[in-house]
Amino acid sequence: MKKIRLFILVLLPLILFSCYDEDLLDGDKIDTDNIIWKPDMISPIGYAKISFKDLVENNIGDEVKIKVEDAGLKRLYIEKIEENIGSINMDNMIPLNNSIDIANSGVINIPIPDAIKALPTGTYLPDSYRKIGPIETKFNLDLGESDVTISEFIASFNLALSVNPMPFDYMITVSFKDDIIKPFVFDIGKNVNYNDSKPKLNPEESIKLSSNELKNNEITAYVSLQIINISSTTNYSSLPDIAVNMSVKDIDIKEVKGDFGKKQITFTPGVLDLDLGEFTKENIKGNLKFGDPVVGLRYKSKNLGISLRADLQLTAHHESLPDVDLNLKPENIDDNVINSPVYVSGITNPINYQQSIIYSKENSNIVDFMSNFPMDNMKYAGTVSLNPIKRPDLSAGEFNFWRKDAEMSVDAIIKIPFDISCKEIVYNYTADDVDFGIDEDMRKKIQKAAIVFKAKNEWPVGVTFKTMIFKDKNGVELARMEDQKCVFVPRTNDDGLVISADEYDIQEIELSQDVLNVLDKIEMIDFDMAVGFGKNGEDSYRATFTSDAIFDLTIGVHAKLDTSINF
Amino acid sequence: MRKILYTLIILFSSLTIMAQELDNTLFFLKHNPKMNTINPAVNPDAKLWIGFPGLSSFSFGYNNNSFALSDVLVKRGSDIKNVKIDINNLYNTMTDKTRINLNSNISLIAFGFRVGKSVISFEVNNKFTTTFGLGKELVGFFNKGSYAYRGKDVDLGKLHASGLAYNEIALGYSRLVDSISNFIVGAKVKVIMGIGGMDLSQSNMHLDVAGDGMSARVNADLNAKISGPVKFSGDPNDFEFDDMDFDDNGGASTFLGSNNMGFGIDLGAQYSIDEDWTIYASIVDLGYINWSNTHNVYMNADYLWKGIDFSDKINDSKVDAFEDLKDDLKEEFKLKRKKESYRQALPAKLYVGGEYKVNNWMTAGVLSRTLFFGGDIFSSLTFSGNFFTEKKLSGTVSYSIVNNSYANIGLGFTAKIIGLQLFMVTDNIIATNFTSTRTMNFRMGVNIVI
Repeated sequence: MKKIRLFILVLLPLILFSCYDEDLLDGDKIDTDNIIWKPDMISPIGYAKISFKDLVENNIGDEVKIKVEDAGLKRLYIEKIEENIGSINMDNMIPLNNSIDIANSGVINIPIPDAIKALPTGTYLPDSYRKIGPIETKFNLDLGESDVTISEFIASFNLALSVNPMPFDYMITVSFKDDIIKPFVFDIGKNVNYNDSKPKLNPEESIKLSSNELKNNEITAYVSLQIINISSTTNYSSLPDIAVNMSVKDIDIKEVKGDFGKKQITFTPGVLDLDLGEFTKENIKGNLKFGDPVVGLRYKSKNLGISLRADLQLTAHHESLPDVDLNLKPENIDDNVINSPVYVSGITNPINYQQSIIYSKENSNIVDFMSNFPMDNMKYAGTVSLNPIKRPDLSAGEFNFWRKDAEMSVDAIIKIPFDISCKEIVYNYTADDVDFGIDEDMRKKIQKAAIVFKAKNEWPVGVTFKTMIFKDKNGVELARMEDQKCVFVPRTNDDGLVISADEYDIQEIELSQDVLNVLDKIEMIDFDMAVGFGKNGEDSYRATFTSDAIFDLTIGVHAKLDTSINF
Repeated sequence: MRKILYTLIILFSSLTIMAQELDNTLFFLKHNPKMNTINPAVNPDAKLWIGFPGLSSFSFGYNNNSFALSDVLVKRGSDIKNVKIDINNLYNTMTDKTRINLNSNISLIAFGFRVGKSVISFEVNNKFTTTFGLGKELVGFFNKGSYAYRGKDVDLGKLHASGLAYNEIALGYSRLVDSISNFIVGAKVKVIMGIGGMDLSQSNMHLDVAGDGMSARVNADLNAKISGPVKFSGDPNDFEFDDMDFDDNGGASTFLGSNNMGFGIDLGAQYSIDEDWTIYASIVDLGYINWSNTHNVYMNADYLWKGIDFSDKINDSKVDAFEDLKDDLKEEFKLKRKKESYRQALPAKLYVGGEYKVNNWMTAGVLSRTLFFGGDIFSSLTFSGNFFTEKKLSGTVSYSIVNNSYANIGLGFTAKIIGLQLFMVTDNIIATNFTSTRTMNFRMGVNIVI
């Protein structure tokens, strides 16, 4: 058996292995890393069906809303509402000092009537003799140097009294004629130290004085005295006058009507951030103009009835360009008067009020203001004038109105329809950390490499790579390609709307031989991607974006290899 | 690695020695008792023959109807790794349907004897055969790339793989029916015991590349049946290669194949038209194996590749997008598994031939062989010149057309030395340069022939 096996072992190699290329069977010599093939490959890499609305929403700040016009061209527009870009605290509009001077040096003298003095000692004081007064006195509202005239006044305050000692118990009543809400009663008890003041008016209660009690900012008050308990042994003839020292403290004004005069109040300047996300000046370059941009300044007043003139100045600021102010055209200059209602008698409960000044292309230079978009920022500053045209005629029942916690604020509302006229917008983008994953040997085997764009474009713009600069890891330019169109502009009408999107269009951007020669060294690519308006790229065209316009894009690669090269 | 090794051991358990399986040249090798493996009606002119256990006959065959090793591996350059895999040349060489067949046959026990007009034989054989096939365009797609296939629905062809390893016990009987016409009929009844099998014949792959090349739809059906001593862990409905392991709980029955019984039959006849012309016909290995433990691994994938969808991921990272793609592909091309019983056909062969007696020591023969296996047909045609003495020596020289290969010169001989008959035969002696050949086979053995 062994001989037979030996025979087999010897014979088999002799027959089978006598003539062959042994290298082909040597695993150490087989190069499994480099196979010989000549593929011409085309393959999609990724696709996206996106509406312009989605694109903007995904690349813009959270506080900017994307909306669709209800009517007309039903354009997409971005809306930015910045509330309270400026506000004015109106608490100091009525410059009422926290004290009210009493006209007669602050002391009201109440003489004891002669009928009482004539009573003999030991006589019971009849009840009819016990009420003394009222004595009229006047208070001056201290409004400083202002020309404010108050015609109605609701406030609470502390009324402080001090009296000289008297040999009986009595009660003092302070009242205001006609519109007396209630008398203010001061009990002077037996145990009272008559030299002490004794505030009695509850601060929560208010007095309301109408024009009858208020004249030339002067308040008329009436002081009465009621003797309560007096001894019959009193020597009536020697009773002194009663001196009431009265003062007003802790004034809390709740409502004022009147003529508040002319006044100018300054807004605190500030900067409005449009929050445009990726749509920054650094990324986008182009001389674009928006159709129908609108800026609204919404003035809101609360607890305030007064005519205003708002002079809030918006300024588009560019670091490298002159600032552009947003101005109303001269013929529309009065439009910036806020016609806040001037109240007439009988209206006592005004609603909160708001009114907007709209800056449009019809009444302002907003088109120029919004050109060179996006600006670095939008600044604002300005003043508000009170009663700018006419003061209220108090005699005719007109008045300004002010209530506690009155305030005025301004919201900015910016609406920019995607209705753009432009030649092109150039979007800059740098892709760093690029690695095609090929070495020099493989690079030499690439006969063709192209990026394929397949698009059905319902957006009224096209895309062209103005420049693609290929750089090495140190940022040194290795090669560049220019003016490579990847998506064509569909046909549009005069409104900038797409008439009909072309069927799928395919464009190949084939890398030049210069680029292929350095493909293994490229680590950065600078793109200048031009979003073009119109087909020739020379003239400015209008493009209007609607919400249902879809950009259906598939990006692929087309590469041709011949790996037999250099083998 | 361990499980792969086990699987290979099972599938190649019969490949301990190489010998020939194509057999066309063997058929005309006079005095050789293995003639009746091709036609059970044909037996050597001897009273008794006994094969050496394990050495009676062993064969190895390799057939590739498409390309040779040197078509794939080429030498380029002068560096150490100067042997390159040339897909381009492979594609240019390939036929539309490439089929690679590998087989072996070892005769473990063999004897036969003549009783009057009858011949009775008995054999125990171990057989292995496997076929792997793929369509040309599958390679073409990788070689030429998708650009050439734009707008075409490409049939990437049946991805084909079949394998079968089994033991057979064969009892043969032939009888001279008419001595004048030398009309002999014969049959062999075989008990089949399957060791391992695999059938991937029901698999298709289509690729439809869009006219602009920017999308491609892949449709892949796969239905593979894996039979034999393998077991799976993990989800019973999913197939993962890592879950597959060799099932070594079967003991001896694993290697005998006694758990997977089958049946086979060989039928044959010879008839002499006159003194000079004899014709032959036979069908061999007509039968089946019932596999008791078959895992059906299947997949039906229909995937449209049009890139990664970034519509909702404009601000997402690329990593997320590619992760989604990976998950999609994994789900779409997920292999499922279920257990079932399965009956697999044996690789049946049909032989038809004739022989012309030139003189008393030489004949000329022609033999056609058609192999049916795994849904494929392999055909060959052999012409031979056969030389022989009375008892001791015989030789044959053949020319075969096999698998679209036209350069196959065969050679064989038998020699009786000290009572032992040795034989050696191949259908393609040129296959000695086997890096350039597409057909290779070899059979040899030692028998006592009396």
